[in-house]
Amino acid sequence: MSAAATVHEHSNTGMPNRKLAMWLFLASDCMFFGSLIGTYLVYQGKSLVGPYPTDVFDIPLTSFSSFVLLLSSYAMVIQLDGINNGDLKKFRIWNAITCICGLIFLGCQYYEFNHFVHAGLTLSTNLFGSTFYVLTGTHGTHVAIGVLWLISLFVLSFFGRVTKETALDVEIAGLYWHFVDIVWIVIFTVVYLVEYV
Amino acid sequence: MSHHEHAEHGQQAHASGKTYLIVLIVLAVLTAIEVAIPYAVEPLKESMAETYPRALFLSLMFALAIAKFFIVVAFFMHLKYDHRFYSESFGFAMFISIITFVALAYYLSSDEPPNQRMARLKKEGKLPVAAAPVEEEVGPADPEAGKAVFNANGCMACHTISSLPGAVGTTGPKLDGLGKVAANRVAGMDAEAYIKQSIEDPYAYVVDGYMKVMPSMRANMSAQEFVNLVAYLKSL
Repeated sequence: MSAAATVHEHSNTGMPNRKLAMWLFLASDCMFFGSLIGTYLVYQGKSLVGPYPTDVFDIPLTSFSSFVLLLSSYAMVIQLDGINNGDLKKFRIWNAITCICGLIFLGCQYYEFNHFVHAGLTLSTNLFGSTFYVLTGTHGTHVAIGVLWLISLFVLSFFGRVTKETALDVEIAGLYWHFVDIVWIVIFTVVYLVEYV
Repeated sequence: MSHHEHAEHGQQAHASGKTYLIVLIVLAVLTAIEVAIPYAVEPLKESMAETYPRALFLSLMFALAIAKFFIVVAFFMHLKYDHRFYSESFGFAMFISIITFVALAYYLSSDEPPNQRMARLKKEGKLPVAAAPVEEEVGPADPEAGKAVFNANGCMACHTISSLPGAVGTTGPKLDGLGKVAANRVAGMDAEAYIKQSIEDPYAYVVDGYMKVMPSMRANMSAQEFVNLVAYLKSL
């Protein structure tokens, strides 16, 4: 695997500005999700009416979607490697795989939310409903934005806008995408799995 | 700064394609272990009862999640190979969010595991229950007076009645023709029973497409007012 290609950018830090900016944004997003997760944890177990988490959670389904998201992170890395080597075909194939995995994850989320609402859990039902939907809904929105971003890269690649020289664009999209994955790693453990231990 | 050619300042060697595959497999295995833990410890809850080490198992799961977190950040996000400054700035922000979270959790936590709290409250009879209804003398129903009850309780904020000026709310279903509609809404419930339930226990049946937001209104009125209101609604 060759070294990452970079644009001949001048910056005070010696690092591409946009990449550093993305990392700083991700750091702030960490705080954002930290507050949502913290809120969820503070209110955990304090709902006075059901449905309660164990009434509605489907661990096999959520485990499957968690694994799909992990797979998408792997596909993201291979996609980046493709464009770093100027291999447009590899980039496109693994970009498509990443997007499909993201869409499968979103599909699972949609199915899950639907099932929960039918079981009587809405935003206003109880503390669990409020905190759960805000947290996972925000995460799902992040995933959706990521999918749109990746699709746009896919399309742009047909207009010569995604090349070895502009691989930084893909790298930065990748950072965002991996971040979305690691947030889910935390959510899956702290929201879903702890209810059963 | 001097120009960059093929590598960013401070960037070291890259991981190979094989490394990434190994990382994926490791992540998958860690996930599998994490998911297996709740299933594996389930029988222990009974057999160990009071000595069940919940904190231990929780710590184990959190440790696995944190390990996965760092593996993705280090390898997939490339921090291991990138300029130190990325790790430093991201790490600093993580540190801030973690201590904020820990402080919040500590301040607002209790010793009791969340899923035991409901069981205890139930056992102690501390879960909120509806107040016992007070017996009241009730005369014949007066639909006209019922109209006044409708107005007095803010019902028009959420419901529309064409014949009632000011009743233009759309949060809840339109009430025109309710007398007929109510009789057929729920199997086994006549119009009067359905209307009563909608006021006393609105969450029991919510019309498709509407949110579960109507508060129980029964407690806001006397028994006579309630009877009058039901008669009014049934007459629509």
